[in-house]
Amino acid sequence: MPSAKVNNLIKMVNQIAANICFQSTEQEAVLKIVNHLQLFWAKSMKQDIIEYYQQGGEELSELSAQAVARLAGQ
Amino acid sequence: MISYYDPKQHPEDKDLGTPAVRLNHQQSLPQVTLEIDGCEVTVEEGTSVMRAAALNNINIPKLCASDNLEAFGSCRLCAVEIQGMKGMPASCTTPVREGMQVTTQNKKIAKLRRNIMELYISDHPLDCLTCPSNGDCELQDMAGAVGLRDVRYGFSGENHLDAKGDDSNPYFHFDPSKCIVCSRCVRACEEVQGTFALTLDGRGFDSKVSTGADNNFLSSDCVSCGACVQACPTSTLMEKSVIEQGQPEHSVITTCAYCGVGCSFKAEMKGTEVIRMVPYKGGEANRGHSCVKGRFAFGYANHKDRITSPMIRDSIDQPWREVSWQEAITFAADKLKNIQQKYGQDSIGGITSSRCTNEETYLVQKLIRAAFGNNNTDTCARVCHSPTGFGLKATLGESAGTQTFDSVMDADVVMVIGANPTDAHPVFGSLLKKRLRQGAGLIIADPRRIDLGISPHVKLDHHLALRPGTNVAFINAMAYVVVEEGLEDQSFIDERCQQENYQKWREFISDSRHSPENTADITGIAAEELRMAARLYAKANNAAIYYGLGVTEHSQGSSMVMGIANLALLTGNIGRDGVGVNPLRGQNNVQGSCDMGSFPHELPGYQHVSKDELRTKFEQNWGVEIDPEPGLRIPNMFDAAIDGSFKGLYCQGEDIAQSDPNTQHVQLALSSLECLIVQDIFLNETAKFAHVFLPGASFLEKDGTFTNAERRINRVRQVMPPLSGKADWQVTMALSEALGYPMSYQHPSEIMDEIAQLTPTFTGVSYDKLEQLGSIQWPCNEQAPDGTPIMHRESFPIGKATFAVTEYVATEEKANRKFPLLLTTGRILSQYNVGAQTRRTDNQMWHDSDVLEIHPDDAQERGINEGDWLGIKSRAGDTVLKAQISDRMQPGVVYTTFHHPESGANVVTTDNSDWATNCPEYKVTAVQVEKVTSPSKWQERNKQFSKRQHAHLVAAKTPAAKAN
Repeated sequence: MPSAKVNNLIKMVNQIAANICFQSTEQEAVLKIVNHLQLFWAKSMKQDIIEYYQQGGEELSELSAQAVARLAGQ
Repeated sequence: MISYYDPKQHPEDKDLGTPAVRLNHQQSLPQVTLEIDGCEVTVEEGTSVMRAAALNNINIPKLCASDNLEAFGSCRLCAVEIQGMKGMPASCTTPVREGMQVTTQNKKIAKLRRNIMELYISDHPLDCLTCPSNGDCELQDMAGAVGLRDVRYGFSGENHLDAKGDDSNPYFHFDPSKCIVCSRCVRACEEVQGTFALTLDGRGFDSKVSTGADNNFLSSDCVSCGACVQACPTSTLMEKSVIEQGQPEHSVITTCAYCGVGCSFKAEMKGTEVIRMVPYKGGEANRGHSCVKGRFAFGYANHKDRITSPMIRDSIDQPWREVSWQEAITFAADKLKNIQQKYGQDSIGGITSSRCTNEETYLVQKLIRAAFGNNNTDTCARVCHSPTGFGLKATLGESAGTQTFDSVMDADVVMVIGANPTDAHPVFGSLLKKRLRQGAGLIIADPRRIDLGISPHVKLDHHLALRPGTNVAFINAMAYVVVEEGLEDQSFIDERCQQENYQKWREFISDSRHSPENTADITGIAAEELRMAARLYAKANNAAIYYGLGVTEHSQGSSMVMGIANLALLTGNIGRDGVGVNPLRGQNNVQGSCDMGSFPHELPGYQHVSKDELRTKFEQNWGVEIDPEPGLRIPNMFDAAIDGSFKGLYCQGEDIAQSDPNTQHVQLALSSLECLIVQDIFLNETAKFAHVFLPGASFLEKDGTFTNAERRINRVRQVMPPLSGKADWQVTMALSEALGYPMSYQHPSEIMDEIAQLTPTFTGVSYDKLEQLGSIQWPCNEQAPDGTPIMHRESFPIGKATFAVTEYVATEEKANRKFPLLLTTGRILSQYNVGAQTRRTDNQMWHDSDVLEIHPDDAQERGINEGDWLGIKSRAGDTVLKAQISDRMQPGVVYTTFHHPESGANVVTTDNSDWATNCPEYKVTAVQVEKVTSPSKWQERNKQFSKRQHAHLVAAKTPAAKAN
């Protein structure tokens, strides 16, 4: 069970994905999400969401999961 | 340093009798040359003889004329002779003509003027020595000017000397016995304020100024803007402060600390006491007008609740201890250092104030980045206009509105979306109403009926009463109609917008899912009405959009801002007077606090912290390394606090415990902190959770600048010394020094010089230039040395503008059986934000508690009557407010304000927020409403908590606590 803090991050990244994905290929959408996280999220928030993803990340939407995976790889 | 106001240095302050021909001088008018008293004079065509004379320092006597009102020609005191014209025409109503020869003074004219004055004075009390306007009375001045020596009629005839006064307004007194029926007050109410609360009743000798049938000032439509008081040439309408204290002896020009209009005022003083605030005619944001807050509600600055000594305590269940500045600063710095040692560098942060000056905000973010060593800085814009910054930067390339306020006078159609200008930005609201009375089209998109649409002589073309939360579906439908009906401005798109991007967007918007017919079920707006509105907007020569928090405070706030920019670009309504995208900013310096680098990802001037070349510039200037990663935003700070990784917060001039959503969550977060430092003028709701209280200075007590919603940098000038001994910027410097990062500014002007060095849009800004120009709209640099009133004239900062794909995504906050109503929150004219200032003034007479507005249908269904106590319950919490039955909202929508802490409006609002910026979704909360008999549990708890905290404060004042 993720903490309230991580739950909020999950909600945030899913919301970003849901708003950013239109009129884009999957690849483009993933890049846009990663870019948004890079530009606006604090390091600790990025670490928390990566950690959550690495532990399974069930609540992440498909696009969010791809984006967080990519973020983790950077 | 106190700078005294010298009228000789400010010729614009002189009353020239009639207005300039055009408000904003965008067009040059033909010049006309005439002769006045033998002097050749050249003025713009259409100027009155009176104004032409006054511009050349020939001052024709006048009573009914004032240059903020149209010429009226009733007093006849300004009669002159003009060669070739019969009789003696009034100079105020006579326009100049080429070759005209005017005589302003000879025996015949003098006799006429004396006769007129004689009639006036025969019905006027001669109590000049004890009259409040003694020393500032135009009637007295004119009697002197015309040389009145005798009143042949005597004083025993019928007169108005016993007329009954009206003392109902808390700020001014109406004494009709002194009225000369010049109607300046009536005309000011109509022309300047646009409220039409005053009228002239009766005819001839019986004429009198009236607030309408059986009304007094307080019960009438009067909004207490004070324009009538300012217009009155006698003491008929007079500030009570002047009645009580006498005429001021000097004045200082400064900037109002209420809303984002940023009105300029003359603070009229006696020593260090403010007697009255008079809107300054030379102020380009307000041009001599004001509202009830700015003009009258300044008494909070000397309220007994002001805290003027620093206080500390180890935990929030302990009484406060008053200590010296040094002890408080050392205590705070030690706590912060210990927390960082224990929990890491990122475990503390700060919140800059949108009420403080640019210089103070700049210092707080600098303190955080340089002395705290992280980017955990944020500001109240997070909860109001952060989507504006994001959305406008993404589309137009700059995080700010595009116009001046004056620009509205060139608009042919105005669309107001999710804003309530007559309440929240009243002085701009009055200017807008003026343009609407001249015939500009008006579209309002708002779930509620706002006063603007029902203003006298204003025709509302379309009220698009959309459902809360459906903004993006609405704006997309507008763009869809423009594209489908071929109403776009193709040449603008071709020349000024990125093509590839536009084609992509066009493909997106052309899909029939965006059509008004297909979105009507979502938005609740009838398709044909929306089509007509879209045509009106798109076909206008100049169409302007004004928007407020009804746009930004949604889960798609950023999308909506981009959608608005799309529509303006599509129709070519960017880059000239009369058009544009205009965010109406909430707080006085919320634009400035954003400009000054308050956001965790951006250094001053919106320079991203991750970009090496930008960050290096700051690192070199500041002599420190800056973290290249963005820091935490306010809601993330709260989450981290509850999670245990964020332990210390420095909060300057914001009351997050009252203004931020989901109060119980905020309170939990604040209680989790090991060190909360609050710097404020009052012990606000947030300070009840604090360990260190640093007394703040009101805007009257310091120098600096505010930046208003039109990017206008205005000077704030100290009129009295800080009550606590320190201005806020000095406190931040002291804290920084105690943390091992000394700063050495002697005056805020030096801070501005540093800002100018580091911020490309501010390179030309300095206090000297502000003195020369009065105010400056940024960008102000080599390309625009005098500033930039209208943005994007030739090109965008990003070259070509970008259309953004903005798909409508419904909010997760939905009404259902359990929570069937949607709550939306807003503001009211007389109160400001969390009310900390206005609740401590007589503005309380208009709004002493928040109420829940509910539609008659919803009320009837629940058996609710006016004044019933209502429990309002959401997924986040519940509170209790009194019912006000109102059909301003559509059925299914309820409304309240958040000006009073005990209301707990934000106990009900949720954590939902904008996808891009985390701006809270204040405007949509699903709730249930039912009749109750007692306050909510939160209200009870909070009352007890506040009582305990008050006792802790009282203890600080008692000798026993001091001895400890």
